[in-house]
Amino acid sequence: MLTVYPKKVRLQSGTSVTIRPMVKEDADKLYAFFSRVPREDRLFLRDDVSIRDVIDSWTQELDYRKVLPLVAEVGGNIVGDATLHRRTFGWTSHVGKVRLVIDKDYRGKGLGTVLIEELIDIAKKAGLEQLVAELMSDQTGALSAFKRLGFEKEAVFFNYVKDQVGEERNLVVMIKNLRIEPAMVLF
Amino acid sequence: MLRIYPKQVSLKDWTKVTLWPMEPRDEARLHEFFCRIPEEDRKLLKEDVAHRAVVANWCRQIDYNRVIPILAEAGGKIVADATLHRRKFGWLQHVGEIRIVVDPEYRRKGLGSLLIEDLMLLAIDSKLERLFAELVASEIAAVRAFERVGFERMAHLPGFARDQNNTPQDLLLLTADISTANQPETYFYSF
Repeated sequence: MLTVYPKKVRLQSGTSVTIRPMVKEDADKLYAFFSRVPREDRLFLRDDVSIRDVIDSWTQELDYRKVLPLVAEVGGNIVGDATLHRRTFGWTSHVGKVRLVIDKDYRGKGLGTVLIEELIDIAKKAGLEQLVAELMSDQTGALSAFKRLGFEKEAVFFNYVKDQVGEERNLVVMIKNLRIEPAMVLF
Repeated sequence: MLRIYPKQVSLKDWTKVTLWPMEPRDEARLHEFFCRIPEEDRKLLKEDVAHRAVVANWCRQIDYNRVIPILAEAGGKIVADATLHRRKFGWLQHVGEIRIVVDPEYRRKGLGSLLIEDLMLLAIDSKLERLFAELVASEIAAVRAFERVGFERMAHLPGFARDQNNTPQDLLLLTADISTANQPETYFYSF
């Protein structure tokens, strides 16, 4: 399933990006990547990635069956991190969750779309049936990218999450059914 | 906050139950409790609690700032496990999640409701503002217990969860707003 990596892709801008699963040796690069992520974006993450120990615990405890992290690399720097989370047990073991962080300089270039497409592919091969993504309703770029990839808005939690200044925002839960593939997506 | 424990409560049928926050020494009895839970219910949990190692891991890593597990004991056995989960960081750090497992022999006695109320009060004390719970729609008694104390249905995901026979089940996402409970002169619910 992961034998296709490392994989080279070309973005719309012509930049060549290498996509591959995260390895133990990525700790330094990953820490540098997350340090470049603006504070307001770090808040969307579950853990405080400005703490080195958090990054180290990820890279040291890699278990692709539970969390599959794909990184995008340009010239030795990580510029994107997309993760597929799944449970090995229970009522939602057929469901995967995707999370995505893209370097500020590489947004709006289709890199997020490329990474999510890779995760969709991996999820299908792993036999998952649903993919979930959680976004803030103000992340319009990401919302429309997920929509183009076949994710549908399933629920909106009104004023449920808080941004970096403590302001309440809406949480949008998007779900993609991996078993049903639309014949054609109109833009 | 946890100083009110251990605490004795009476159920509807006058069974005496003791509640207290989980400690490392509860490991063996907690595992016995989970082994008494029918498989179809165990499948609704996030981890395979029939494995002693899973329970042992919880007992080794107790951190009440992240997870407050309240156990209930009756007749020398653990009969329920109720947990309040929270995150220390991020856009959901003001949201707590409640999960509850009750021994089949101790259901329909109001024990689940008692535990939800206790966790809500703990959540209010720890300045959380919202609570979240995930339930299978067919667990009608559990859904009612949550709704009685102010939880509302935020989403109904048809066929999203799978039971032990791999049959699709509807999943309900419930939330409760507890943000006003810390303000003076506001009563969250009446006893």
